[in-house]
Amino acid sequence: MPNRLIGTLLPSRAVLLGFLKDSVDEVFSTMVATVAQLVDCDLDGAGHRELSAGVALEAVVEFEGDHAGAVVLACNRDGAEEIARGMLLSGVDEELSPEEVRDALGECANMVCGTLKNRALDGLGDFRLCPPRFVQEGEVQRLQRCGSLVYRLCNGAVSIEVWLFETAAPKAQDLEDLLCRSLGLVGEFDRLRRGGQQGGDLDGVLGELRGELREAARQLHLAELEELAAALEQTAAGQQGWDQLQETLQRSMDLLHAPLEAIPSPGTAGDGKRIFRVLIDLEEDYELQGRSTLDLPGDVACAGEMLDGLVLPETGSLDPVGQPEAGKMVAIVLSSDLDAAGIAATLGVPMGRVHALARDEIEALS
Amino acid sequence: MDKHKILLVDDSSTMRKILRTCLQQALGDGFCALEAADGASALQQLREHPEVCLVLSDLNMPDMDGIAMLEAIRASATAARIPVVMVSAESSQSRRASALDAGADGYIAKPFTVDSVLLALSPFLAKIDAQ
Repeated sequence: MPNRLIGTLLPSRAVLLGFLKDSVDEVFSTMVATVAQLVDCDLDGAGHRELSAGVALEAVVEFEGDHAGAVVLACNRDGAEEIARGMLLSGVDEELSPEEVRDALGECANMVCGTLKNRALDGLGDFRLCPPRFVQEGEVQRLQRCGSLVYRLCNGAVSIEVWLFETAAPKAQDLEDLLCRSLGLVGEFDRLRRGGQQGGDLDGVLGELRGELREAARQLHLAELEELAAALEQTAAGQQGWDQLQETLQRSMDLLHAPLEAIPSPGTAGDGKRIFRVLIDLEEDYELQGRSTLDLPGDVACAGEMLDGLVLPETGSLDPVGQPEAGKMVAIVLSSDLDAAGIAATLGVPMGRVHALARDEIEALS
Repeated sequence: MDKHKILLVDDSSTMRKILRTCLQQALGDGFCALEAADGASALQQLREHPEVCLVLSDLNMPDMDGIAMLEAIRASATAARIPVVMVSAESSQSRRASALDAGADGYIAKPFTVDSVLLALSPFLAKIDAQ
């Protein structure tokens, strides 16, 4: 299935966070000689326990262009020095000046932002990086935080965040919300219609949705959304059935979510399906929906047991409409574990995208 | 024997030190690193040290960036033939192309490993060794 929608939009917050994690891994594994343990993965900006002693240094590297945003590295004093020592290969006895620590942290932020840009953004337009700068905690308020990763270092901790400027242009997350609402409303319409009732106030809401879809279609030049808006109009006018509209909406929802390109051949289908079932199991076992922060060691340990044991109970399929965030979150957290299991290499796309197979696609993998 | 002079241009002192360490691993004590924090200082260093045999330069720098510096080097009567390898956290095709169009001889994307730096520099280091 082609993935035309994602290609023109910024990735959703969860997927962007997955790219950020990959970028941090790449920079730290090649340029920073220290052990960084991921201890928190956060989409909504909950408190960072590891940094409770206070942020001593905050380095920001902004990117500009077709979309704008920033990567922010916030460290406590020990964390900043640990990163600087890891980059400069300085011994613990060697004293570093505050300027050396700042410079190293800025360069680290520069590389993380550059790698994120290369991995996640360059296919979406033209972008350029700004020089690193240092800010007071909380200064970057004009941006919308998309998520943060918190790492515990040998000494200290660092929070690495990705922010986006608020723009009028719809993002994948907005579109997903819109389609979810549309699906819910259409279902409600259908229920009322079957019960012999009129749409009532829902007519007005449906009209608003139609307007939003048209505006999104205009900004994104997406034929799919034009078709959707037209389908809404036709249905409201009684020219086509509700079932047909529901199918159109569902098709758009499937398009919005990345397809499981990770399963290019029957030889790897088993792995892909197994991973997907692990995600489903975790979602159910841990009741992830609604949680903004994962119990990382617990969740990954559970995933590891499932991967090793290969005993995966039949739990049905993840509902791509009702539970997308949970799947994305677990996918991000699992990505390092899948690396260790030797499975990630067969996927070829970030794990954050593996969440959203439609039910019939999952069944087709059996 | 005179040491080979290599000019490292980056506004980050951390990155200059990392590059120096990489070169140390490849060339031992057989080189001397000159440093500059921006394009204008780099051009000044080249005027003062015409014997420089290789330039490693950042792309994004304040005041005079890597591309502007590179164009000035290529337009220079004395330094035009010095190999220049750009080093940048931006590795998009368009950024690489603009650097190569401006006359860069190579491009190293950050983050890098010592091995990848040595691989990118090997043609130039071999020439230096042969001199």
